Amino acid sequence: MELFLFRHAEAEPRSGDAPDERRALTAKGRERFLRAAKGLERLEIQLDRIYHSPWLRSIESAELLSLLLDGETVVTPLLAQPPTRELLDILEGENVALVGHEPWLSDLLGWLVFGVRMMESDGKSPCLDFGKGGLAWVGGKPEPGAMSLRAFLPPRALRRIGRS
Amino acid sequence: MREIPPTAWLDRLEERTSLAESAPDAALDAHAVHELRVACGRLIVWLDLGGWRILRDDLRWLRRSAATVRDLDVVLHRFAARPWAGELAAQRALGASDLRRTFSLPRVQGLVQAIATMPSVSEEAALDHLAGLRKRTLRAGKHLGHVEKDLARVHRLRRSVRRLRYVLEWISDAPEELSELQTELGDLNDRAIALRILGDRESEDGVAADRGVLEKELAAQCGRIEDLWDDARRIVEGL
Repeated sequence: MELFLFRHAEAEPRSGDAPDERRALTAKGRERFLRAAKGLERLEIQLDRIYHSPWLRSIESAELLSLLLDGETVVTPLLAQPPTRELLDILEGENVALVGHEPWLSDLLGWLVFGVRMMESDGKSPCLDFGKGGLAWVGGKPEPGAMSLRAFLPPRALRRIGRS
Repeated sequence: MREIPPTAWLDRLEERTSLAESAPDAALDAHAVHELRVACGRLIVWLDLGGWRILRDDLRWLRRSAATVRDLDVVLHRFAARPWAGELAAQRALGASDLRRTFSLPRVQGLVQAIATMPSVSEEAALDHLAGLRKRTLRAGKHLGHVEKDLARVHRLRRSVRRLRYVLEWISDAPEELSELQTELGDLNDRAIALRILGDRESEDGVAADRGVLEKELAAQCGRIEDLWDDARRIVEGL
């Protein structure tokens, strides 16, 4: 399985009592993420599944990513919490994208590639810099420690590919 | 312009899917299953109005998950007392049990949660969508004569009319003529489903006779649909 882990694009800042899960993407975040998706399109990456969290910024990011999709989208709350075995068990497909949130994506990446959990007890992930709209591309069997890191790309790199 | 939130049908979706896996069969009766499928269909249309690609696959998946039970309900509603219906009732109980298990999957919880976070659809976008759908429905109803000879055409019209009705009801109300036509088309589909299920049990006592009755009813219904479409077409043209 080729697995593309995306962090959602830039979202509106938290404000007052508004629920965190309802934060929408900013216009800039949307435009940049779309350009990054077009960068992947230039790399001829096609997805057969997109899994995303039920939070609005992840829904909107997955929607933008759907230009690469020839298959199904799946919503799962398992991407809005620390990664679990259950998340790995539901994954199906050959070219699969996950759209989620930090610090859980970094935790998942470390778990899949090194077999160790990256997240510290304070919820921070000190080793990886998963920027908003960033991508980690891993390949192999979706099991802890069984995947190889193919690329870890900041959103800017993807946008440049889209422009070139 | 008015905003259209998904609340009305999201609440029903949530209510129907919040059933525990251990809930008794009676808690997932024919009405509950039908309403679950209607809620999915209406929310798919709501997503269309907002121009969303996302979450439609989840709603379609949930709708499909309830299809077997719904199809059996259509037959059992009418033929539950027949000697051959016992096996279908047992299949229905198994299907309902599977469906309750489906409700406990994270995907269902995520779906309800996701739709609840989404922004309302603007009435303006809904009206734009309506224009295209109006044309599509008129196209689907073109050359509808000889309905009984071309059921595929009727099913195309049924899907278009259902979608149009849902769009209109998200905006305000659907004209009575359209609702009446859609109900009739839905009944026709139920008969077609019953015929298909009975077709698999043709060799059992009494099934052939029941099939014969259904076939006659279906033919009579085709005539009614042509008449109802004549009335509804004028309404659709005026939308």
